[in-house]
Amino acid sequence: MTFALPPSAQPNWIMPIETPGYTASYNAAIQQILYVPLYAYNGSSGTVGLDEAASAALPPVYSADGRTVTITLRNLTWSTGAPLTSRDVEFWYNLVRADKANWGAYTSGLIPDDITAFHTVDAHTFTLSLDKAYNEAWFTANQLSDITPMPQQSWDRTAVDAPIGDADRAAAGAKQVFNYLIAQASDLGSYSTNPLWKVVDGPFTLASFSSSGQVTLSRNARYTGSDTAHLDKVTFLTFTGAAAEYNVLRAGGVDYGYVPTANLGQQSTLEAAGYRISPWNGWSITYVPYNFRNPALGKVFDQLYVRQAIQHAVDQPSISSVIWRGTAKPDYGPVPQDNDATFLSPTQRANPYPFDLNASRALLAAHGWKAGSDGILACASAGSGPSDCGAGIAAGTRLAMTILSESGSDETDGTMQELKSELSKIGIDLEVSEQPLNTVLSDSSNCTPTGGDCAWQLSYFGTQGSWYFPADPTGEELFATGAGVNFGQYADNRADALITASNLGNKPQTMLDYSALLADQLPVIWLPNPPYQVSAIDSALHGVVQDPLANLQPQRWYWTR
Amino acid sequence: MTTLSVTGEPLVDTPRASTVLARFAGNRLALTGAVLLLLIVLFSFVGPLLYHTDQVHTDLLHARLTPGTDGHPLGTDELGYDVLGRLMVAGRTSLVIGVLAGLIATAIGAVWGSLAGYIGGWADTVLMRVVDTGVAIPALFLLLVAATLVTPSVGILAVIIGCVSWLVPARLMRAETVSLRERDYIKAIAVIGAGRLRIVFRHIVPNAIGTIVVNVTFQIADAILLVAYVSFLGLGVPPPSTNWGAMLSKGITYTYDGAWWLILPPGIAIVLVICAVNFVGDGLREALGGKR
Amino acid sequence: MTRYIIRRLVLAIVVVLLVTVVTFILLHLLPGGPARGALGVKATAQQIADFNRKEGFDQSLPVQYWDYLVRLVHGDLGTSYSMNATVSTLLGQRLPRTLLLSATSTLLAIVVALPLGVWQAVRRGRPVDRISTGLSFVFYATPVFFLSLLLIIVFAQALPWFPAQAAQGDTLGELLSQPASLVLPVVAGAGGVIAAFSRYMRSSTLDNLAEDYVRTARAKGTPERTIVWRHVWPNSLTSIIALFGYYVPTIFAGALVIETMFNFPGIGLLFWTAALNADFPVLLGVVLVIAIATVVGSLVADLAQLLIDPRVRVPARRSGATA
Repeated sequence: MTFALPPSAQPNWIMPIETPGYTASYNAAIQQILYVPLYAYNGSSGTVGLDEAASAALPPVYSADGRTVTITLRNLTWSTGAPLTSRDVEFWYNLVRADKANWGAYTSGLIPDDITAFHTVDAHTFTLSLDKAYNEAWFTANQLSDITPMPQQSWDRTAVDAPIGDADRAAAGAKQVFNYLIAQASDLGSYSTNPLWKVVDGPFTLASFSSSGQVTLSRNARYTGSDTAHLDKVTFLTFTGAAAEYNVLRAGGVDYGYVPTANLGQQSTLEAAGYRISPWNGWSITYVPYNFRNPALGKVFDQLYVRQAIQHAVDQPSISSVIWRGTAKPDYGPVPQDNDATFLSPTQRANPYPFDLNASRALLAAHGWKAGSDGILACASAGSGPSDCGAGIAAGTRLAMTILSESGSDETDGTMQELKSELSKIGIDLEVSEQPLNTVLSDSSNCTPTGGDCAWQLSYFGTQGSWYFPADPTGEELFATGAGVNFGQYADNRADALITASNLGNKPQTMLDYSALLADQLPVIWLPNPPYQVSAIDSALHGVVQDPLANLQPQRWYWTR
Repeated sequence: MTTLSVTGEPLVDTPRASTVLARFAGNRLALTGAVLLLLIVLFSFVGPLLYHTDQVHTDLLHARLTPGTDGHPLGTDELGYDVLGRLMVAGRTSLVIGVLAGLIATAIGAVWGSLAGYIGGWADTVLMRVVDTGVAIPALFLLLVAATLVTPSVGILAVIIGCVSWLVPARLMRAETVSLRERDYIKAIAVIGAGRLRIVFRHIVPNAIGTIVVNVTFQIADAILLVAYVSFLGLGVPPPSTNWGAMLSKGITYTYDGAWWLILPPGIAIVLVICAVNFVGDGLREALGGKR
Repeated sequence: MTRYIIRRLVLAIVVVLLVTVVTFILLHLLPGGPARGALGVKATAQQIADFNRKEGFDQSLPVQYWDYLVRLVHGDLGTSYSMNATVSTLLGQRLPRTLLLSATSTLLAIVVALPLGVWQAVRRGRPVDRISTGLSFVFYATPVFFLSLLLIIVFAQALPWFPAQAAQGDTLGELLSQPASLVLPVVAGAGGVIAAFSRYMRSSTLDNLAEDYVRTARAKGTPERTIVWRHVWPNSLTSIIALFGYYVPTIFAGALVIETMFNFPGIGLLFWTAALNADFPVLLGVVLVIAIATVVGSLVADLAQLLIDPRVRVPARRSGATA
């Protein structure tokens, strides 16, 4: 059974604790198959929820005051024959706690900072003490799900020739153990042969791992959980680009691959060749951040009416149906535009700013913007009155802006041309500067709350979705003031209050209010959200559910031929 | 043709313009090339004046129309641009970049190579090691760095391509100069006391004009192809401007959909223009040099 | 002669060093640096600072360059952050693949192009010359990515004779175990080169046919066949060797496109992904390898030219040139 990984995705890390730089989703997807996470989530049933069979523990029990969590492990066994115990969870906790900077997923204040102590109750039960009471659903979904038990009896040593012991129980020792494991994991060429990576508790075990990222897993004969694999072998293929993958797919070289947007017209041909075509939607949103700290246009972007005028000029339905051939979905707010009403507010669902160029023109005209000889609007009425441009905007300021956009994708290219075209009709000049994704991200993240290089004005890095959420689509990393991925430095007290409440409290209404507020306030330009991919799956392959969290459950796949 | 011969070596001076023209006109292939080139230039530069299309605004409602529908003789592309009109605009970009880059590359290369070749000694060593260094750095790497530092407009792209492709003409020119240098009449002129620069620019360069002209044509053709590769790798001129290479590399993603009108027109245009330029170049070479 | 070669070797080393200097400077002109690419969207400022300290990017450029040279002398090309492997491992795996691909396609090109060029020259102006010259123009003018796609459509899908992608796997052995998978990439690589080489061969043969010694031979009544194969062919061949030496960078550029089209993890692809990820050690490593290959190629070319035209010998010193 062969599975094509997304274009240019090359798995490059195996240890369940990913160091910075190795946090790509396909690394995590493959690790989860080998090392069972404490809590696995998936959204394949339509709503994102706990996947009990793929988790290493029974659902957590929170104490009445919300400060203690009691967790009981399931009956899993390492491939050495040793059972999975509380000690294996403690091992993960000790390592991450001792050297947080080396854990790529670490955010200050969040896990492991929010867990103050680990108590072993017995071999299969332990409790965690929390620094304060949290929203329980959020804590399980976005915090506890980061934990992956690791085989302490096989990995707890400080050097290749050191004995296995309890070195991780002291901070210094834990650091040494962690460094030893990182050193082992920093040699991709040795993955296939290193005995460390043979000790797994998941439904599959590692058969080979090539330097170009091709990974083969084989069924773990010693797996004792309830999620046993059906297939004997799964191979993850890597491709340099979507076109190369498609050529091989058409020639029948891939059992589970994807169809580039440009080739969606070939659906019937592929179906005749024995594939079924099925879009794989992501638990994600896609957007263009405004740089509120840009010296030239930050003050302009501060004006809600400007953001409204721009959003009114985005023809999301046409972009989705023509450029993405119907595979992307319009996206109007900060939570995935899904049918699930748990997080999606009626405001965001209804789209407060539909495509309407006249509305855009009216908004700008009403605030003192007049077209110059080149047709580009300039501020003719400086000031902060109701019919003026707004505070801090000098007379003569032109609505000419540059967007930094990732190169290498026809869909993105088309979306940018469409944006430029519509904006030009309302008197806004958009210059598109295409750069490799890496450069776009690098430039976009250089502007910090207090300093940095803030020359960029708009940026787009969403060809494969701008942001994939963990199980709960809360905004603490995206739209909270000063948050790490809040590239444009959006700051709104109301949003901050709602985000904090969504992390700490248990009220379902909080997320709905948050969704409505940011759908209305437009911290970014909302754009259609592309699918994770449009899959082509051999029609004899069954049991495939496409998880919006981008995880894979190959143990549930089986052949019917 | 003058012959100043001691050893019986034939010497080639630049022939009269009328002779060149007559020889060129007598060469069917060259003439075909010239006519073809003229047609392509007219198509790209005069065409848009006669056939009006909007190549600035997208029109998603009319995307991917087959040829002949709604007054689009060659259909529309995936953003609703009229393909025929786009072919004209793209041709303009390709030709401008090709010609500019070809001229820049050959001009730099000719001067650099002839100086190195004639002066010789350490100047030659230093000048040619600079060329070696330039050749040894992959042009794509230079283009990538350049594209990251500046947003490439048509002019900038032409200059960048010109600046990465002058190295080969420089080497050719040096080799040509070295062999001309040893010819007796050049030696004779040097003995008379003509300055080095004067010899290079008045005698060496004009004598190598055949090589130079032929090289310009190769450089133009190569520059048009290079723009195509650069566009294939996503480093071309930013949209909505386009060129034949970008149209082709975009079009081929629709191959399996049978969208031939997105592939064949730019593909044929590239092949035609490169062949035409080469025919003209070969014709000029024969007309100028009398050789081949 | 020996002195000349030694001198050229020394200069070659100078050129390679110059290449590393220029590459180093250009890399550090890139905005943002490699940290974001290596660490991803979520990396904090602290993680980025740590990364830059660990990799030495907080040092001044000359210090960084010196460190690089010192490590280079010890055979350490650095470690790729995006591929989690040392650069020498990566080069060791990818270089032989690209060499195999380029060598095979170049060999194919030479075997086809040289006799073709001579034949065209001898039959100059006849229909066969016209048609084959016209065809080679068309091939020359067809971008490699277009040609590759046509080959895939015709010979991998319409007629499923060959695989659409090259063999995967880390070793050359795995590659060689599926020779069929090499056919399309090799042909795609040879296409444009055949066109270019045969054109050069044709014009070089024509040049030689116009030379005095040919006239003399003809006057003496030597058969045309003997003239072509005994006298003209060896001379044309040497000029093609010179051309081939200069062709190394072009072959590399072609490899990049072909590797992309056929999902062939060679050095061209390695270079391209490293460029997109700002993976500095890999970029430096690949540029170094290409620089060495190019310089060696030029050296061969110069020596070949020396053999063709003794007047060029010891080009830097005009006096005292002895044969």
